[in-house]
Amino acid sequence: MKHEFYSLLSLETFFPRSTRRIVEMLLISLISGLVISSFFVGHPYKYIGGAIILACVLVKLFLLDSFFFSTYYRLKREHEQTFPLAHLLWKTAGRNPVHDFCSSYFGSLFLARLGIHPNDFTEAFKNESSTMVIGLEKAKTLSEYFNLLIPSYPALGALIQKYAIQPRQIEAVGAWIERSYDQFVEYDRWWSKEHLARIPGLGKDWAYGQTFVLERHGNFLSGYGAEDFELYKKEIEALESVLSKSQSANALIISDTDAIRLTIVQHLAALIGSGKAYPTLEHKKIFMLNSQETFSEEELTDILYEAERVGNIIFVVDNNSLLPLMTSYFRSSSVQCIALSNTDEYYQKLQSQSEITSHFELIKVDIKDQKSIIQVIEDQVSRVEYKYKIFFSYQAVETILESAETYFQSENLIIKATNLVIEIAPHADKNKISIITKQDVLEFVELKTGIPAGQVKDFEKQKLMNLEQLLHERVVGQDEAIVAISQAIRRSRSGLGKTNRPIGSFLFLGPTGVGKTETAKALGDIFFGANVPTVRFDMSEFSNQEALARLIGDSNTNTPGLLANAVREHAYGLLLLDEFEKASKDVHNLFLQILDEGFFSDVQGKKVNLRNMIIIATSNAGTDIDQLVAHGDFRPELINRFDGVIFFQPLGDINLNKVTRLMLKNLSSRLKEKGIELVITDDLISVLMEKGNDPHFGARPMNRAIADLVEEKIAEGLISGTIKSGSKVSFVKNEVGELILA
Amino acid sequence: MQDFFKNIVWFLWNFFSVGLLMKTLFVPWQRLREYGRKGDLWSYVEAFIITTLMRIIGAGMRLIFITIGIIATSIVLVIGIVVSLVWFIIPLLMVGGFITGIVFLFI
Repeated sequence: MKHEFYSLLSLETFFPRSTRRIVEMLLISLISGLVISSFFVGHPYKYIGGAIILACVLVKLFLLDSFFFSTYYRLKREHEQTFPLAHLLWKTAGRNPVHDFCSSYFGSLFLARLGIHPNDFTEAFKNESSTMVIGLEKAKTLSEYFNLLIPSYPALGALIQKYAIQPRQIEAVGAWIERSYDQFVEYDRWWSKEHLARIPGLGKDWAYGQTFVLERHGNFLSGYGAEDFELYKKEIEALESVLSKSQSANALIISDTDAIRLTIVQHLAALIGSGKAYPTLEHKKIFMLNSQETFSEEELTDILYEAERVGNIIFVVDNNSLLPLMTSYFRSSSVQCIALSNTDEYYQKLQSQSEITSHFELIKVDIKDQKSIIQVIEDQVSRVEYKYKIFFSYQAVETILESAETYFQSENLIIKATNLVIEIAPHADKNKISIITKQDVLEFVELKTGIPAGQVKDFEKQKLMNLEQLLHERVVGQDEAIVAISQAIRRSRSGLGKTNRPIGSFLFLGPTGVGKTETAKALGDIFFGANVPTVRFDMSEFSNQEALARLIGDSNTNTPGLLANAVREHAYGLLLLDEFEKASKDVHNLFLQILDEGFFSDVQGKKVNLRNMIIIATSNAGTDIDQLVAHGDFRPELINRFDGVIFFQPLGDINLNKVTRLMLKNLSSRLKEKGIELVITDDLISVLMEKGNDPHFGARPMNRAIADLVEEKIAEGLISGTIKSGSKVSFVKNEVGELILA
Repeated sequence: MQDFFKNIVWFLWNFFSVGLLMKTLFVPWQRLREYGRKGDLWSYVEAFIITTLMRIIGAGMRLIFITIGIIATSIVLVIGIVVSLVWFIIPLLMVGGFITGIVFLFI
């Protein structure tokens, strides 16, 4: 196997293509210079002689190129072993396999992509002796070779464990390197049909006419919005080749997403527009009929007649009821059509109409898997690496995809991820980061979104470790609840929690006025910071049949959903759902999905991401889960979806006393801003405890009592002028037990 | 090597749109043409003159490109054929070239 690659490998080692390319360019310039000069000198023979000698050298170089390409593609066809692996084996044969791997070009690239630091690697193998590894010669790919080394070298296994490298990452890194090399070779084959076909030709539309009728009933597609070429490459190329046929050159694109169907057509329009489509299509114009318009038979005939006269029109039709009227034109090659449909419509209506479908070739858009999506990102990464002279580890690439999905609100994952690659490159360049790791990606995401994605920082560590204490500064009692919440939050932030769910979700149960809402707000302020607003919904307003439409949007009235809008605006923060038990069944079902998957789809089918939110639902329907389920307030599966169901105990007198002091302290700090000092006396507390204590309503009556008895009196004093800035206010109890200003 | 020349010939033929322009040689320029009105003989004459003019302009422009295209394609084709024929003696030709070059240098 090895000697088959031998000649190719020697050539590439001693006189690589990049060097050949430079020498060729130099020779061409020199030969041209000599030939031109020979016309202007008295004795041209010396010049001509020099030119002939150089031309012979140039021919030799062309022959070497020819040898390289023909051998490369022949070996690729005949052997399963990839060129990068053959290169590695050839360069390194016979010594210590691990050392060989590390010191070879493709091996070191492999380790770098895996994010393994060369020093770590050298350190790990400092004392490791060489071991025979059986079957290395038979490995076909870089990752196969690497995987064969692992069991024979414990230090390598330990290193992989240290870097938490997964088997799929080893597989993907090898494939990426090998694919990139193939692309690199292919890029140099400028004479391949694929490359030449993309050069625009001359005089392609001289034979075609103007369109007056058409422009009234639709518009020409310009390629606007054409994205993700690589991902839909297969479908776009299929469309191109179907439309290039000489007969029945019509295509029927089937995909369940409107945007994808149109994207593919727009790509074709973009290829034609930039003169890069196949020659058979380069004079064509893609015209989309207004999908909203209803056409009379006469109008349609006019349109089709003009299209036939003009001669280079490809229709895009997404209203397939028009197709039967157009059938007679499909036979003529002067009118072509791209029909757009979805799976349901195709199987239910179109498939049976053979007089239509016989003129069309089907193009089904595959659902793209993670692997092909990541390949699109890898290609994008290769481009920016070349441009900015930076390097991405594979973990960084994976993190880009994950972050794009988790932290950014937009429909198209690929666009989000490729944009992230494009944005992170100049950022890394500016900050002199040459190797972009997972951590760099997370930090960049944090910088861009404000959502803490990277490692837990010191101040945040403090906050998380002391969460109980911080919550207790604002919430009295409820020790059990606060411990449960703090634990769940720590679990989530450490990365142990599931990433495809909200940060945390809790159901707070307990009687009214015991601190449920206050705890939620305190948690929001502590975890997200006081600047991040809490998104709050009173779910008792969402108990009727229209509730769901109000939350996710209404297609009839075209109103956007309240929840969808609120979350899009504040994707990072606390979502507080008061009186959750009162929401309708549909709304509960919506939250079943949200709690499970961390997103929901609004009425337009666009995903709304709640994975960066803490969701807290409160309910005072009861404190016993069985009772709540039996009563029909909640379904058991909904209760199970919450990270924690937290019970809030009724406040006793001692806690109520503490709550009262806390409330007065808040009032006191508000008054301080006006320069007024409130003295909290025992009299004040005892009267409030008397007037504001109602075991059924917890601390809520206390709020009212403070408002009525304290705030009201201070307000009166402020208006009448008896209390001024700089005053000290204290209350005493009079003989009938009422508070009066001292 | 054969692929190389085949592709270049294919490219030049398409680049100058030789096939397409030949097929549409006498189609009026940009399909601009006039039609006569019923009962108006003069309008037919007018339409004929204008359409013919457009055809002549179209054919003229096309012929220029067709000619350039055919010449370019032929040159590459001839080179391709020559290279295929001498493919196996290229090393000899190169040696010959070297000797000729050196002789030229000392003339």
